[in-house]
Formats: sequence, C-alpha cells, structure tokens
Amino acid sequence: MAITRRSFLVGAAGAGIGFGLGALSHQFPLASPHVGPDWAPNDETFVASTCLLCPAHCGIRVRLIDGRPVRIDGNPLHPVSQGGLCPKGRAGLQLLYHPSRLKGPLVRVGPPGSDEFKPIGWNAALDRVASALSSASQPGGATPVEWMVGDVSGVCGDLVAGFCGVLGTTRVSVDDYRDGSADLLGMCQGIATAPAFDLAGADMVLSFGAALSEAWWSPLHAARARDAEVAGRSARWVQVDTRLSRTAVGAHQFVAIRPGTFGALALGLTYVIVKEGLYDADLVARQVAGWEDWTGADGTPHVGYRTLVLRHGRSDEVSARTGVPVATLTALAKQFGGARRGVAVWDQGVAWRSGGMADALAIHALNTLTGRLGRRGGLLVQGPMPGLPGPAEQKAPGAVDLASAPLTATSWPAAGSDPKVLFLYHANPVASLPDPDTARQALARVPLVVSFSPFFDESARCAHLILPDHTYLERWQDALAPAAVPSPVWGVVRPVVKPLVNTRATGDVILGLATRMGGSAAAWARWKSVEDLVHERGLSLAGAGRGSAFVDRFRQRELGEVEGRGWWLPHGQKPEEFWQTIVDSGGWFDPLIDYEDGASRSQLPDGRVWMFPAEARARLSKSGRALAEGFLPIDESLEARDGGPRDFPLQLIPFRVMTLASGGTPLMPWLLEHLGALNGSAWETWIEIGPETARSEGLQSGQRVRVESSRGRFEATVRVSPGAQPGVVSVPYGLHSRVEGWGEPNGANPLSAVGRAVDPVSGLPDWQSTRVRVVRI
Amino acid sequence: MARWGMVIDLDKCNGCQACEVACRSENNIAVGGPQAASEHRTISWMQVRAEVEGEWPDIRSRFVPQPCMHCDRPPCTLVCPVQATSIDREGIVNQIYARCIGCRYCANACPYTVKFFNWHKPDHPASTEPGLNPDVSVRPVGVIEKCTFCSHRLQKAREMARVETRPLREQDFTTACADSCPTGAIVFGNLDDPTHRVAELSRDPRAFRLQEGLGTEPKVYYLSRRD
Repeated sequence: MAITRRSFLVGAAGAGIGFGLGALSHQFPLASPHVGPDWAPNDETFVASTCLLCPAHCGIRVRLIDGRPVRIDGNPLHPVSQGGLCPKGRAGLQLLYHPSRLKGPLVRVGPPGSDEFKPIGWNAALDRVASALSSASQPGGATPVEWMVGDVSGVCGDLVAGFCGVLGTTRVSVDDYRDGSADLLGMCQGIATAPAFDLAGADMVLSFGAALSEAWWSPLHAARARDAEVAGRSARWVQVDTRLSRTAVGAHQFVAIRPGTFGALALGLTYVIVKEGLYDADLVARQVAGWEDWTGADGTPHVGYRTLVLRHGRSDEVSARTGVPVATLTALAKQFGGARRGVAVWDQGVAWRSGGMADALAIHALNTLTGRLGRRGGLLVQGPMPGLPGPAEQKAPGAVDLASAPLTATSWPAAGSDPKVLFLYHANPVASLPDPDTARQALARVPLVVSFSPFFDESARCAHLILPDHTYLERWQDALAPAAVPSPVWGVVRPVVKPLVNTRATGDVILGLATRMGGSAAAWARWKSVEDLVHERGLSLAGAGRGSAFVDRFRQRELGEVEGRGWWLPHGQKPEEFWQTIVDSGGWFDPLIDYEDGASRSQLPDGRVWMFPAEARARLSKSGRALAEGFLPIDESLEARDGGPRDFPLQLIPFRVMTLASGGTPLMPWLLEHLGALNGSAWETWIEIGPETARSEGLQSGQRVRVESSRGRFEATVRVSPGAQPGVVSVPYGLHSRVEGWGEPNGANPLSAVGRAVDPVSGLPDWQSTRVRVVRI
Repeated sequence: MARWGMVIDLDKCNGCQACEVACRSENNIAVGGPQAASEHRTISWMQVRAEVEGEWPDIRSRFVPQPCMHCDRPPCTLVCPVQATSIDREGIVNQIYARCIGCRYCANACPYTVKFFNWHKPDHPASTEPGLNPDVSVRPVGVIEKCTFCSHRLQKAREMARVETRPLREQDFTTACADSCPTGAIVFGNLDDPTHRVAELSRDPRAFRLQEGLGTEPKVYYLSRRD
C-alpha cells in the first residue's frame, strides 16, 4: 500500500497523541487515589522496653504506627546503651513478624523426626504436661525432670529455678557464654561474681582477645566508652588478638599474637613492669598475696609469682613464644604500667581453651599488680541490686542456681540420666551441640520433650509438645544488666504489641503448670502472671531507698553525685507512680559506683588479693597440658595435638561476631545480609585464612571447602584475608540453626570439627585446641 | 536554602553495621536472599565497607560506611533519559520510582556504586507487611533505588515546623543511619548553616571526600587521621 501525504499526517498525529498521553500518564494517573471514609492520619507512638536478644539487655524504644511496631531504636534514657543499639537489636522486628512463627501449641502425631504435628488447645497441652509431671514426681527422691535453658534472666530464670525447686529436681543445664571469671575472682578475691570493667573511666584498655565491639557482654557499653575523654585526654584502646577482628579494627592499636599465648604475653608484660618498677611496691606488699614466696597452711612452700615472672617472663622468650616483637611488648608494658587508669580485659577468647584459666590468672595479675582493682577505670564488682522478691526466694533447699548450673555443651546428655520430662527453653541442642545425632537420640529416649520455641527449629522437631513462647516484644519480663557493667540496671521488658499469634509466655505457662499440679506447687505459684511478678518487683524498688527510674544523661550524672554524698531523693512519688515511671522510662538503675568500697577489691578474711593462689595452682596441675611449673600460662604442648602438623597442618579457632552472637540470626534476614563487615560475607558460614596459607593449601576466596579434624568436619566458603594469621583457620560460630520460610542460610556448625573437648580445670569448652586440614569440594 | 550533607568520622566508626540495618528498617529495603548475595545484587543503601591493607602482622584497616554521596554535580542525573533522578534545590539527589524505566544508566554512571537495581520482585512476606514504614513507598521490580537522605523525614519535619510556625531546627531532621550510630560517627545537617555541626566538621583538617578528583562534589565528608 502506498503511503499518501494524508495517511502519513494522520498516522504521525495519532502517534504524537499516543506518545503525549503515555508521557502524561506518568504525571496524571487515570484512576484517582481512593481514600475511604475511615481514613485517618497514622497514629505514631513510642514505647520503651528492653532488648532480650543477647545478655547485654540494652534499652529499646519501639516506634509504633497505629499500634504496629515498625522500628526499634535505642532508648536514650538507658544508662548503659544510652540510645545506641546494635544491628541485632534493630532486626528484632523480623523475629516478631517472621512468617514461620508457630501459630499456636502443637502436639506430635507422627514418629520422632517426622515433622508430623497437629494443633492442640492450650488447656489440653498444659493438662498433659501437668499429669506427666505429677506421675514423674517421686516423693523423697530426685524427680526425673530436666530443664535445658539458654540465656534466661530475671523472672524467667527465677521461675525456672523456683519451679525446679518445687518439682524436686536439680537437673538443669544452661547454654550460655560464661567465661569462668566468676570462678577466678572467687579464688583470688573471695568474690563469687564475674568482674565489671569500668571502661568509661579507663584511659587505657588492654584487651586480650575480648570481643569488646562484637560478642562481649555489653558491646554498647564498650562502644560508648572507647571515645570517652578521661582526665582530659582520649583513652587508648589496644586489642591483642589472633586475627584482625572488628574490635581490632576499631581499636587504636592492634597487636597480633599466636593462638594460646595470651597468658604468656601477660607474663612478659608483668616482667617489664617489674623490671621498670612501674608498680606500687608498697601497695602490693600491703594488699597482695602470692606475689612473694609463701608457705601454705599445711607447711608446703610456694614460689611467689614475682620470682616466677622473673624466671619465665624474659622479653626475648615471650616474644619468640607469642610472636609479639620485643619493642612492641616493651612499649605496651610501659604504656600499661604508666597509665593512670588502665585495665586489662579478657573473655571467652582466653578462657575457652584447655589451660585457659592460667592465662586469665596472668591477665588478672596484671590488674592486681598495677593496683587497678576497685579503682576508677579499673576492674570493679557491680554494685548490688536491691533484693527483688520472686519465685527463686521460695525455692526448695538444694534447688538449682542457674549461674552455677552446668553448661549444656559440656554436660548434656549426662550418662545414665533418663528424665521422664525434658523442657527446652531458649535451647536448641540438636543444632548447637557438635553432634546432632547424639542430641536427637538423647531426645528420642525421653518420654515427653516439651519445647517452648516460637519456631519449628531442629530440636522442636524432636519434641512431643511445642508450647510456643511470645517474642520479647509481646511479653512481660525483667532483665538485669550483665555483671561486666559497673552499676546495676533493672530493665523492664513489656509487651509493645498484643501477641500476634496464639502463643503464651513461658513464665505464665510455668505458673499455670504449678497451679494445675496443686499442693505445694500451687502455693508456690502465688502470682497471677509474670506481669504481676514484674510489677511486684518494680514496687519493691520504690522502697529500696536508692537509685531511680531511667533519666536523661545529665540527671544520671547529677543523681550519681548526690548519691555519692549519701543523699537520695524519693522523688515524692507513691510506689504505684514510681512503678509507672519505671515502666514508661524503661527501667531502674543505681548510678553510684563506690570506688572507696574495699569490698569490691577483696572479700577474703585478710582483705588481700591473691595472684595464682594455691587452689588455682593445684587445679591447673591437673590440666593435662605441659604448663611451665605446672600452672603458668606457658604451654609447651601447643604444637603436638591431633597427630601433629602433618595430617592436620592448620589450627582452627572459632570466633563470635556481633551479628551471630547468642543465636537467633537465621531468623533475621537483615543480619544474614550483613554477616561479616570485614569481608562482606552474607548468608553463609565462612573461614578466614591468610594469603600465605591460601597459597600453601591451594585455596582461593569464594571456594567451597570442607574443614576436617580428627573429630569431625564442616563445610564453609573461603575468605582470604591479610588479617588472618598464617597457619590458622578462623571460623565464626553461630550460623548452625535453620528455620525454613524466609531465606535459607548456608550455615554450618564449626563445633562439628571441634567436638566435645572440655577444659578439665574450668569445666568450660575447649575451642582452641583443634587442628584441621582444609579440603576443596 | 539548606544544603543537606553528612560527615562520617572514620576514627569513631567501629563497623557495627547498625546504620545498615537501621536504613533497611526505615526505608523498607527488601531482603534479597542468598542468590542475590552471590550475584552481588543485594540492595543496601548504606554499606559499611572495610579497607584492609598490609601483611600479617602489620595490618592497617578501617571501616568506611558508604551511603549515596548526594553529589552537587551528580553524574547519575545527567544520564537519566526520563528525569527519574534529579537533584533538588536543597541538594538531595532524588529517585522517582514511577518515572524510572530501569535502563540502569545511572547505576553505571555512579562512580560510588551506590545505586541499586531491583532485579527481582522485592520480597516482603505478608506477615512482615505490618512492620513496613508507612512513610516510605516499597519499590517494584525493574527500577533503581538509592539512599534519599531520608527525605521523607525532612518532609515531616518541615510540615511540623510550619504548623508550629517556627524555622526548621538542626535537631528536627536527621537520617536513620545518623540516628542509629552508637559511637556518634555519623553527623547530618545543613552544610551551609555555620551553626550546624556538619558545617563545622566538614571544614575539619581531617575531612576529605571520596574520589574528589572526579569533580562530582559529594556532600558526604569523611574524617580520618590517616591518609
């Protein structure tokens, strides 16, 4: 068909109109937006509560739109976190709204491991548990009921402990990250609690592998303290570590050290401090025991730590052992000895190793020698909380103390222990223990396994009943600050939203079970609910005669000053008003740190502090390691584990990062997308190796590998990093659990290769004595 | 007229990534998943990158959080064929999702690689929808998205100031990342107002900007004692 002038013009005009309308449609959509008659502007509110995703228990402030939580921020009134919040705390929203949350209680209908469950009513489920508990209880004998708990604090921990007392069982194992420092302080200072570190008042913080910015007890406390000005100058933070960790990047100086030699370095630093006379000899003579030679009560002569340091701490020998150059070691010792308010810090990175107690003792001795105990900027003991009423008060004699209950990782399943009922609360042993099959078999032997998991995790799949707990954003609880923080804080956890699904707070379930069982159990459970219990505790704080509801930073300082002079203002409030202020602000705290209180230095009868006391020496002599003098942190056997370097040429060191600390990460995809800040890892477990190791083993970044030890294996992706030490494979722990439904991380449990190794001295896991080989797959 | 900008103190940043997650929560950024991560297609308006140099044991390293630089001379706006991305009068580089045709020219023109394309339909499971921030639209597949300096907060703050018949104050408007930083490393404000902290900090002797030689005039300044 020929194109005429007319048809061309018509076509061109039509196309022009068409294009014009198309372009205009972006600006003027044809359908007008529909606004219903019930439309109203969004109602924005904020509610203060406490984060329960790790033991730091930071203050949170949840933004709600029309009653729906849409963002979690830090609570600016919280005395420790001061408005800061880690990525995990912010991602808690994803836990609340996770598509795979269980919608209500479930009962198993298929064989174990079959995933065949059906819904059950709460009353029927509780009746079943109560009758199992009643039939299991044996008057006069130990009731075969067992609890396995994770990080539980405040009333929930007390309810578990108290309920165990009522049931007459002491079988509780805890899955937490204690570092043995309470044990150590008990021996050296007669104080049976973990130490607090006054980081905010320190002008030098010397961290021996402590993950201060990552999985430490209170990373926000550390983050706030690092940039503090102390006595008019900036604090200096030094990180001694076996790999370039995130804490090391954030420190002012990074000192690289060979694995397992933290204590040897502390010994070397002490040597220089002694040689340079950088300690107060008079003070040490008056307050310290074990420094000079002494004779025990039984007449046994003991060589003093001073002599041992001079014998084993020579700088050239320590340098050869630790890999720290003599110049660095000397400069570090002079800095630490010369600092007015320095403190040496350690955590699981030191303690979770066979013989690790010797290292911790040497680090603690550094603080003792330089007079940092009970001083501003030094090692303190958290001030006491006022006594809180609660269920643990009434526990039966011999009932459990969760703080000293055995670790799940080292004690479960106990041989010959056949409980009739097993409760899993914040515990997922099938995923977290090195050997999932052993855990599954142990669970299969129990007639009734009850899981309180809000998700269908690996262990819940092996349960007979799942009674899903609320998330921490839907329930009442309370949460204490960790012992590492100098002053006591009592955070209130309150529901910021009504429960989204048919779940029930485990604390209320425990009270319900006790009521159903009748008798003494019912008498013990005198509270209507956990809310009632938290309320009672809040009211008791009104009568404590000290402390305050959370206030802003300036008021915090003012209250501290006032209390330091022996005054306290009762705020002119009735107890109920005080309680409401506590709830609205997020909690209660006592700002006073009493640096003059000698009891925070030593509670031993003679008021002295011990260095390497006889008890520690005796315990360490049974470590099974070739330690110098039997107890010093110099280990000649480091090279010769697991058949020597030929079969397994590399050393495996698991570490913990903030995004993976304390579990739960697989439920929060925001964290999975940002797992490793240092190497951009996401959604998978990785191993870090240095370029030299990569060359010798023929490996490249991005390759999938199998890491094998004599005990087991796991798979991971290689990340080659100059921040990784030659001969060492570092691997993050924490991506072992898996819940289907929202992203599928490719995680692994590195403990499969580590196995069940336990340090016989401290009873803590031994994570750092595993040699491995890396095989490409 | 304000000129919004940001100062990030690298000497304070400890790489905690709270800013990344706060940004995701504030701006309804969808979860990409492991597949997107393996293809380097994860969307993250704020990215904490690590610079590691040297050889063991002498390692130098620092974290560098990178949002959109909101350049005064943004290359991305020059190449957009449909004016979906443009710089407004107060210096914020916007992205209009309804205009974007997904040509990805801007993502390629950006020397800082901070513009992200939605290769897949963003995944917001139904149960998570109540948790979305109603102040920020979710994006469809096939468009570019990027950091907006939380301009929705600016709109709210400006309206609030108008209702209260007062000028906009420094504390009225800040970004989610600056709000979230536990070490106070990120500071946001008006670079042209000498009373704002950013104005002072951007003139600090430690201040520098990324790839200044390109002439893009970024409004994100970094502070570092190191070169």
